[in-house]
Amino acid sequence: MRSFTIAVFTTVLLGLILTLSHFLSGRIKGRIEERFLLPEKMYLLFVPEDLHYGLADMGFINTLSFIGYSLQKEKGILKREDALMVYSALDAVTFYNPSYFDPYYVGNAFLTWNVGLYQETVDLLKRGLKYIKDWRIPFYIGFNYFYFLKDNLKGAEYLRLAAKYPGAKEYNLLPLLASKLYYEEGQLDVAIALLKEQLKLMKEEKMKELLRARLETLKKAKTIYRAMKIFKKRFGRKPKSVEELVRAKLIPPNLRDSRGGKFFITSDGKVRSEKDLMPVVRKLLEEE
Amino acid sequence: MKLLLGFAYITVKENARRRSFYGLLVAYLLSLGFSRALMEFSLQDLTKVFLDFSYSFLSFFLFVSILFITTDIMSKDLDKKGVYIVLSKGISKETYILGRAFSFLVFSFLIAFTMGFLFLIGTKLINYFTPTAFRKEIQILAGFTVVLFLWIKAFLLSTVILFLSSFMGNFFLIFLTAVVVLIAGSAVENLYKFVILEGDRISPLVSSLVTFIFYTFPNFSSPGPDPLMDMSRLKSSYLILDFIRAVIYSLFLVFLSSLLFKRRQIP
Repeated sequence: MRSFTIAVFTTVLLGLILTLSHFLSGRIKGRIEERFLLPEKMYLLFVPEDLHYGLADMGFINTLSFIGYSLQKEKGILKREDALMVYSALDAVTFYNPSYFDPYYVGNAFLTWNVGLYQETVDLLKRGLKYIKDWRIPFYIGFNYFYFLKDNLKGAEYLRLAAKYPGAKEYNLLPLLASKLYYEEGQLDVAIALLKEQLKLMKEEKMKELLRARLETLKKAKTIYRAMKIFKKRFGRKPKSVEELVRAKLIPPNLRDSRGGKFFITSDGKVRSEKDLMPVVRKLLEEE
Repeated sequence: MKLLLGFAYITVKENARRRSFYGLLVAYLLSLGFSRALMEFSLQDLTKVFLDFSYSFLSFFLFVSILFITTDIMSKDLDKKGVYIVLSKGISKETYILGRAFSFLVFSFLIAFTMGFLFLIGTKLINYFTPTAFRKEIQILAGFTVVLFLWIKAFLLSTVILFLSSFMGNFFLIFLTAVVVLIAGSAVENLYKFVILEGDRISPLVSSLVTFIFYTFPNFSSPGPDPLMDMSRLKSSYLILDFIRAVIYSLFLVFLSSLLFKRRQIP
């Protein structure tokens, strides 16, 4: 009888626990935004190192929940103040477990486009660069540099680095993009060297053709740059157009890029090809 | 020597028969299942999440079991006068300590490699069933090296407990002190790195304290799970030196324990 009473009492307690758990589950949603869910840089300093890996991953899962909740709350937009909290959490996660790819992936996706934490994202990704051998890390850094931070030169450097990773072979356009950025910055020698280096490594014939074509364009652009320098020395001023260089017999007439596009000189003294322009601009030029 | 080996053999057999040993393996298997469930939260690096969690569980289970079982064996020997039975068989106090150390070596090997085997097989299998795009190359040889490291660190912890038991009588105090040594020994490598990098910003007292701990305390940090996905991380002279230091440190503690235990008055 006594055992029966204890068993009944235990069952009642179990029932109470389950009921309370049910009530708690309904309130969890309201507490999810609390800051304590997100990891901080100091939180594992005195925890044995072997546990850092699992606990940092757990911190990342919490960060994902926080992002999800924040997006839901703000109807698909991550607020800047929430993004700053996400950044500091991802910084802590990658501090304790720097070779886990996902935090960098999430950081790059959520901290850039609408939020504007470009430099912070780049700093985060640079940590990953030391530990992860994945072409996407330097690619993300390069992309952030040229697209958001408008630093073509640094962008090209990292895209060039990304192209060297074995996994990047499927994405053969990386060296082309890098060479384009070098070209934009007037770093023709670097762009030419990069393409020559890639031509040696590349096995796919179609891609080789593309690279050869870009190389030809760059070499011609370099000829025009060289002619511009001679022109300036000879006439004491910068040339206004490619035609002036032709008239001065510094370059051959009908110098075209590999796709048949005409070269022209921009107002800030850069050599560009019609084919490099966006279709709308190209049409406007043709109309002129 | 024959007596020593016989004594060690009995201890290992006794421990292998413990239910807690099998309970531990079942609990570790469950934790592998939990790690697999957590993998669902990952986006790209699926195998890495499983590897991280299962490794952290492996290390946690290994050190906690060494802490409990080793402290328990020594305190039982002293409390229940089991040590008298051993000494009455003609085994000296030094041989008793050496025998215990040897049995801890074999026992920690059994736990580390049984759980390590489950860890490696689990990782390999999980990786095999991961979608091809996210699959990683798992280096089993590197995995065994990592488990070997864990084993020697687990043995080092058991010799710390042996050393503490050689002059302390209270089970709880031995346990607590061992936990403190484990935490300090696990964090000291990172703290020392921090002191080197941020030397100017840290007070000389803290800096000296960390340096003192780094030189004198056992180091419980290990290579971590990353070498399983990248063999090159293991090719470091630091790891080899650290391994040799752990072996020498363990031997030092065993001999020091036998010296202390020889002088100890057993009630």
